[in-house]
Amino acid sequence: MQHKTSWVLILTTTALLAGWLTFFNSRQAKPITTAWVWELPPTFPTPFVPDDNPITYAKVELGRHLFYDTRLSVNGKISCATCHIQALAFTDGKATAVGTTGELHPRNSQSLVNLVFSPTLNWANPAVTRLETQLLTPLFGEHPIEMGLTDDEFKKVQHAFANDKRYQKLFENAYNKPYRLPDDFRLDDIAKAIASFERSITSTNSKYDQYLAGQATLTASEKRGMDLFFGEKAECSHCHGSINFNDQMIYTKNSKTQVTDINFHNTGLYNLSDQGDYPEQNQGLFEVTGEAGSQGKFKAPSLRNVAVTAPYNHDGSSKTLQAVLQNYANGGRMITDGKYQGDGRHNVNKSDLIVNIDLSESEQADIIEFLNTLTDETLLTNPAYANPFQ
Amino acid sequence: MQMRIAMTHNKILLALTLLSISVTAHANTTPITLNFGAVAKTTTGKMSAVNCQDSYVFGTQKTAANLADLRFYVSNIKVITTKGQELPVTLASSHFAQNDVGLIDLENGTGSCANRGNKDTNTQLTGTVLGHYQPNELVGIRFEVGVPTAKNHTLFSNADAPLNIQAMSWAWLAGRKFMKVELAVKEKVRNLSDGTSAPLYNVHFGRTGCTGEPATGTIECTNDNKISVKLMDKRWQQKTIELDLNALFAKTNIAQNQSGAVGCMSAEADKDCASIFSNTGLKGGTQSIFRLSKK
Repeated sequence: MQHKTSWVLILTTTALLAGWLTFFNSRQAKPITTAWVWELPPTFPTPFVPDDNPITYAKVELGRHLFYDTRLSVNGKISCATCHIQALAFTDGKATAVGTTGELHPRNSQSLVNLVFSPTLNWANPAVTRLETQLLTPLFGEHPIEMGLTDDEFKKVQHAFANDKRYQKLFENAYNKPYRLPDDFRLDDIAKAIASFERSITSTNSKYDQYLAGQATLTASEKRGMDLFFGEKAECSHCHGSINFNDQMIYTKNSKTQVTDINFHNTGLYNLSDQGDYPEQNQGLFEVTGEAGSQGKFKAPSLRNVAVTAPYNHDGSSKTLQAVLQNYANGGRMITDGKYQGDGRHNVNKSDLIVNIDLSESEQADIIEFLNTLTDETLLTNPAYANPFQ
Repeated sequence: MQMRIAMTHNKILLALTLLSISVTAHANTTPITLNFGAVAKTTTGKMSAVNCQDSYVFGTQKTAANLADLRFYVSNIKVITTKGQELPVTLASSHFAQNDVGLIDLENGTGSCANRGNKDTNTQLTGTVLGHYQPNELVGIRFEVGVPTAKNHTLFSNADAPLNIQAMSWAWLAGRKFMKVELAVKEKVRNLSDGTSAPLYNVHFGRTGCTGEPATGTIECTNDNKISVKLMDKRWQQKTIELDLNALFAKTNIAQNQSGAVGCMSAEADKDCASIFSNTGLKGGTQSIFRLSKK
């Protein structure tokens, strides 16, 4: 009798358990719209995310797939990740980017790290302040062609996604509605997911961050470099002094959105005329504002992971950090021959922070040692940012 | 049974109400039709409606070129009465129009337009003005080539037609191209800066000098660049509002590019815009690129 009862109990329990498991599984299969939790050290401010695109785990996961999906280029040759390679802190190692049809971009591919803190996104464009807007240019831009999509080609992408069971699921998870027909796969949904993935790419675990947290010690050379970097002699920190090692930040504090000044700088790399012209297609802010005096002005890029993002400057014209340091020590760059011949040190638009500084070779080497501490190995290998198709 | 009668009664009431609304609406508005087209001089010297097959000659050097793309937005449309009043036109919603903005698409995605264009075409916008007018009371039309500022900086990826067209979006300036005229130049366009050549001469009108407010996403621009057109003729509704491409390129050598992206992209710094803008009224002078057809 007792025996029998226990069997009934076991059977009942099993049935109940199966029921709970089914329930649990179905719960798990539902959209993971859980609000994103930023895992950032206290040295970082709270990120700002636009109200119309709240970040969720499901959107980030969809965005990661889209970021690595070559179907988003017209000939299936490149994805976002082609010019933004994780191992290179989401740069591509080239002087300037190459589009999917082989067209050369005039600019160096920028790192995407900690973009969530960037109020502007391009090298010199105050008009574009949202990733959801910015990413439409590489996808659809014509001058130059980057990924080469058009209105008609995008319809083919929608068809491909509609026939992809994995994508049906990823989109449904992200937006909590069915995705079956090509038209369901709206560009807006795609843009919001890619932007969410890009916002999720944060780098906060460099040796420098560990040093700030009291978990690492800097070598004597790194320490000397840091003092020079933040000190009044080298003055690097005037433009690279934020926690993100640049001078444009957006973040949230006391429930309010905070934006620093939006600066662009001419660092005396070229001097092609008495107007301070830079080479064609690389005039910087001038191309957007048309204002005299804005020739050659660009954003100060974040220096996080800078050791792995060579070559440098907006056009990749400085091959090494040594070359960059040399330009700054000299107060600009002198080009003695070729079509860009000119003395950048005397560019009329040059920032008054770029002056000849007496930086010895060993001091420059110390600064580079310090810059090397900004590399975050976990960022370069974090599976959360890796190609999901491999 | 009684209930059924009540329902029928209600339906009749509803129908009467709807009828009276539609009658009222009809009585208080006047339908308006705007017909658009574009003309250019063919290689045989004949002024013709442009298409994606024929070759034309443009500019100071009479350079041979085909059409690659030709589309523009029309907004702020007002009909001018005999008394000089300006009556705002509310457009009928369609694939090519919202109440305050319409798209004219003069390429069909074939021939020389195959790479740039699409198969949709649209030459007509219809709408209404408030009040009842006889055709001979409406003696002129004015409009702007562009998108209303409040709608210009919305994302095309999340907009209603006709603002949802990527080809007319201008993502890098966070806005839209108001007008897009692209020519496939037979002998290519030479870049004076580096001696390279490019297949297309592009003219894109749009707002420039734009700055975004990062916290709110709002955009302010220093140059509005909306071409303003006013055409007086009591028969304007029977005629076609013609864009004369030869007038647009009258002072331009389309075989060469002086600075920036090939052609004129409306940027203040773009040296190729001076001659293009000179015929549009955007930098002083009067616009001479739009006119009414003879018939």
